[in-house]
Amino acid sequence: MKYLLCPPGFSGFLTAIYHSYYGHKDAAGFEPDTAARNFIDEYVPISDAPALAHKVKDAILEKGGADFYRDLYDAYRSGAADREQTLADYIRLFFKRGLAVRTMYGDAAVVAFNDMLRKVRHEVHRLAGFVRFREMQNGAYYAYYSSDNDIVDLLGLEFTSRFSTQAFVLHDYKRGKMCGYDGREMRLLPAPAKVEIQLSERERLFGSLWKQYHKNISVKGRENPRLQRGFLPKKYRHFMSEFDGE
Amino acid sequence: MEILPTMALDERLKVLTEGAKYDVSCSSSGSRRGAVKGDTGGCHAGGMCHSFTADGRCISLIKLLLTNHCEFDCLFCVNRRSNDIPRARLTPKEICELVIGFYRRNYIEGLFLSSAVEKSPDHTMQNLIDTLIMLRGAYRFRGYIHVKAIPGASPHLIDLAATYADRMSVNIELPSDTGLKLLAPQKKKDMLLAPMRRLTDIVLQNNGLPPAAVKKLPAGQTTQMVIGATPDRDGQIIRLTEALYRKMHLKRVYYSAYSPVSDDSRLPMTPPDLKRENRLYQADWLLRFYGFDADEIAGTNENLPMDVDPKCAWALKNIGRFPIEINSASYEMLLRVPGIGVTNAHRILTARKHGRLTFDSLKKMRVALTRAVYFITADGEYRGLGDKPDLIRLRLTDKQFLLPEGGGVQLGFFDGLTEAAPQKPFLPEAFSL
Repeated sequence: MKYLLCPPGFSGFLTAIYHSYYGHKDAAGFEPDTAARNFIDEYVPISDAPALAHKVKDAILEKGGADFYRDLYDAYRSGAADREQTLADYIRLFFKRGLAVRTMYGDAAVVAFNDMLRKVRHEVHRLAGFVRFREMQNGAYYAYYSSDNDIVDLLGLEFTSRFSTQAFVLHDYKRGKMCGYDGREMRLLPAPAKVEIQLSERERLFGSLWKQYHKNISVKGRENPRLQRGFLPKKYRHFMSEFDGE
Repeated sequence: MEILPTMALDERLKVLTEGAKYDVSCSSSGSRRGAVKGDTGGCHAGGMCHSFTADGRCISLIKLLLTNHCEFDCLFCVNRRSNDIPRARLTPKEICELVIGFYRRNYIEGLFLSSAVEKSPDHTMQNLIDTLIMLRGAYRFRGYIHVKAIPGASPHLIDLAATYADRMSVNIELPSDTGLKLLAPQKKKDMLLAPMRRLTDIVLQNNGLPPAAVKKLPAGQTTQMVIGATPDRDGQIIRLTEALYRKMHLKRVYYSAYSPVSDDSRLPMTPPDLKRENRLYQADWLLRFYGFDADEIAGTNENLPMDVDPKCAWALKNIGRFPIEINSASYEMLLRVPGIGVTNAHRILTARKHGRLTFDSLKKMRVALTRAVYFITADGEYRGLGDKPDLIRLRLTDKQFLLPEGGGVQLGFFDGLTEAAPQKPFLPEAFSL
């Protein structure tokens, strides 16, 4: 069996899609280039070719429109091991059936894609609420977090509109990615190996007021940790200041 | 005991959080307000949760009382005048600093501001408005604001508050007039209903306006009532709720299972009945999203069954109308199938245009087949138990009612007998709206 090895980045993935229609029509599947290989199957490394990726992009835009393209682009943020395959199956079906794929809820490829996209968007929405900023001495705000999906820029966009003039740095520390905003424009930055933060003086006050508030607002006699865990999984709590020490 | 304004902010915040936390409403949904350069914040139409507390409830807004000094002595309320608790107040400036400080750290989506009634309703309402003016004006805050309308406040003050708030609410407090007379003797029914009607008028003026033109209460009006402090039946509560939605155009009605905050003999000392609260919310959903009428959910003097949810209960009572064929049933009927919600009913309508749906397709669509299977056929196939509501009921019963251990309630042989006896000596009558 022949597998196409996709380089990182959406453009690289679209290049692989291009090759699956021209040149490697016999490819059986898609894998990220970091995937484990065996010596029975054949692996074809694909290198990112923006010109070819653009052809695929244009074809998708023409047939599906900007919203549909956005769905694919967002789903690509997924941290799932089989995201290339899931996306490729969906795109193949889309080129056959058009936008009807969006509502073919009985089809396994569509279900898999919709699940993947929903997980990405759900995590963006959740983290837009869960990420905690700390004020630094220079007046800018810093937040670190970790997530299942690669969403630092999507989250960054949420916060630029929320804070408008507030400079901030958003740090996905597991992926080593940062997103910075100076009050005017947002930029993606590579994260330094070590981050040292000087907190502002009043940061301690707000941090402790918040912790106290979080504890006091809960009604005694109604404790329900299982319900709490369902809404706020433990995997996110280590970067949320109110759960300090949990 | 008075905690003076000179005392530490964290002490006063603690006292005033304590006084506000029994207000259940925490939603930040219903307003869509884009960000403006130079201002702080905006609103998501769907709202946003920022944290969850140990009781499993969401924190979306910082819930505060301006003060917990109260003229009223409502028995079920922790802030009642006769209660010996620390009293405190926050200044408008302190509240603004807290809101902005919390918002910039992404702790919250906005402010829920309430107050005990100090001096007079108008005096209190004016203090609330002053805080909102400062927050929207000097602090240029565009996030979500939910503010209480104080019973007895002048209409012009309620109108003024509405120009700054996304949502307002008056708590109807108890589901019946009788309950109110007994437990909140200083609050008259009309005193609560007058500001609610005023808010309804404001909300109705928004009808037909494009969202950007809505300046007052874009997220409408809500209310809440305490459940279990009086012997009102679920049937009455659901009828009151229906009237609040259909006649008063409320966005949400919240229920709060009474937690013992007083040892007065007129109040029950039992822990809050969370299962009952849960069943009432399920009934509330049926009214708002599933096209049910109160009459279909429970008779006036009935309580909701505890072992199955109200939608299952309806389906079991009407077992003769099932099974329905998933490939041809109407949207309204799909919604009545236990295990099929609004999202899946829509999905089924769309998906069946592409081909016949089978049990396998329903499974892929995440329909809760464990419940739905008794009420549907898929492409002619039936996997249910036939016309045997008692058998189906057992299968649909919440686990906690079947398992003798694990914190659940065990149904004893004589439970049916004791339940039939009246719990309290008087019969309540529902509000008429």
